[in-house]
Amino acid sequence: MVLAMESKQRHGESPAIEVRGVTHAYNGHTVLHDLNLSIPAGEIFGFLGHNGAGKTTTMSILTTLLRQTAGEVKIAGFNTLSQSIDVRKRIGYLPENVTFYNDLTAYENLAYFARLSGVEEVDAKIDETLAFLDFRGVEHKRLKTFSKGMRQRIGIAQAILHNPAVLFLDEPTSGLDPMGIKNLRDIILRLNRERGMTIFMNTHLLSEVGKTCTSIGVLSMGKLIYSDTMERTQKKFPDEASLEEIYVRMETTEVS
Amino acid sequence: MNSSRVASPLRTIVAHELRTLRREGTFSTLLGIFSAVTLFAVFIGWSTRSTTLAIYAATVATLKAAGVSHIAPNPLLGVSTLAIFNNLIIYTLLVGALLAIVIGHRSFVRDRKSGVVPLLLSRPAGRPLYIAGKLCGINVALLLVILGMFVVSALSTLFIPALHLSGGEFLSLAAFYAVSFVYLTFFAAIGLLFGVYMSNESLALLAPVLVWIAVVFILPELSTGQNPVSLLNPVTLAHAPAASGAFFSSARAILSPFSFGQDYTALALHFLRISPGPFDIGAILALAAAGVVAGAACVFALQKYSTTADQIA
Repeated sequence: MVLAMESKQRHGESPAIEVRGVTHAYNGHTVLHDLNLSIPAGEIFGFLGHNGAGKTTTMSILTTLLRQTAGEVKIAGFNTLSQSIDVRKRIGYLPENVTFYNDLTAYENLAYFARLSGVEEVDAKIDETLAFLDFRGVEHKRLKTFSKGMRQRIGIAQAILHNPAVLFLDEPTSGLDPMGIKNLRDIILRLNRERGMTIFMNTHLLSEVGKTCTSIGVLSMGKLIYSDTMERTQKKFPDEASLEEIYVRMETTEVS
Repeated sequence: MNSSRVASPLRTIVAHELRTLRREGTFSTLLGIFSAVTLFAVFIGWSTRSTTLAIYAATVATLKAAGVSHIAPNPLLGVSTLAIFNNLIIYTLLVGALLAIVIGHRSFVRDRKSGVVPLLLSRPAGRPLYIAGKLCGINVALLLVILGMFVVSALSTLFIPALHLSGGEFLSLAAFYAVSFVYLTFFAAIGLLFGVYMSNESLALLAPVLVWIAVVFILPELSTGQNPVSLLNPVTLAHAPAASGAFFSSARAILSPFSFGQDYTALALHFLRISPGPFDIGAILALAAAGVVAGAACVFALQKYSTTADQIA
């Protein structure tokens, strides 16, 4: 893809995420058809598609939660099937609608996931991560007292505690108020800019994609119908006023 | 807390399981219920024993006053002191098993409902270790509850007049609780197993209850012909013989290895010295093996578990 070639030259390294000919069938129904994707390190990739398009299935395959029926996936150069533990050490993941353990404090929740990720200096790492997220002072409060936005920050915190190379976010803005969405956008941009994380984001919120992502892919009925940089996408569709209009056009007429 | 070392994932999951059980109040509730049940059983046992003795003493006095010279011996003379814990067998068989199922069920359903299963399974530790950690955590919690019951039992004997346990009797009581623990671990494991295997929360709780009904009532009934109420009574087949006939003989040969409730009752009666007889090592091995098989089935179920199906649902 054009996106892969350009960004590869920009970063001069192997792709952070490489998907080759991935097909996945479930109960005799094919939900992903020959998916090919190459996302260079340092990108913020917005993965778009309507409900049931196969976005969550794709993310499950990329995060080693699901074995694809055919094809190959490499994350940071490691194969998701034969080197799944190496992949898991290098990824952070925030699924949609995680509420965590309500009866435990923020610290206890984060410490649990940090230890399972093999983090050494747990206390220092939690402190550093909460400082990065501008979220200190809540460590010893139970999560049952947290708002949706606060929980989402805890979700981001657990995903970045071990400083992963690639961060997967599934509908991260779901259920957030405008201020929460803005805060999350700032965090994503800072993670990419300051820590060099590659971010793969499933989302519906097209306005956010325009403000956050450096590249996009559009999935429709399990097929990747489009993938390119944001810059080139906007140039390709000069007649469309917004990304929303571009998206609608892609969904209605397959674009090459 | 030393946070500078990398903690073992198994230890981390076990510690987390125990912390969660404590925080949500499950552990203290269980400990409270089992301690109360233990006290209740001891009180009933002591009350029955002292009433029988009082009636016997009054009868002896009346008969002597009437000039009767040949008086039957005290009916409790050959009965073990440990028999006052008799009712604990039924409570463990019924209440204990159901509570163990609930703990096992909650363990995975809690993770599923809070949406953390994909997070946990995308960690380097992997699925078998996750299940092993959960089973260890649940079993440590059950062990602590059983230890609590043992302490309550032991302490309660100090306050009961004229009831002293010898060192050997204390060991027998400990062995009874050890067997009770093995029995409960099986039900905790199947609670976890169905929690993983079934996405419908209600069915996931109902299914292990059906297994419990099968191993405590249905299978023993098919192999002995005894009715469910008789099966609950803590008496051995020596005192309540099984039905004879070709069907029951065949059914007994096939089903008795799976009649864990009956195995537990027989072992409990042995250790409480209510029905002393040869120690049946096969029964406790069957109970332990059932727990191990249920644990292995949990690992298998989690390998098949789809986080994607859960998330899309």
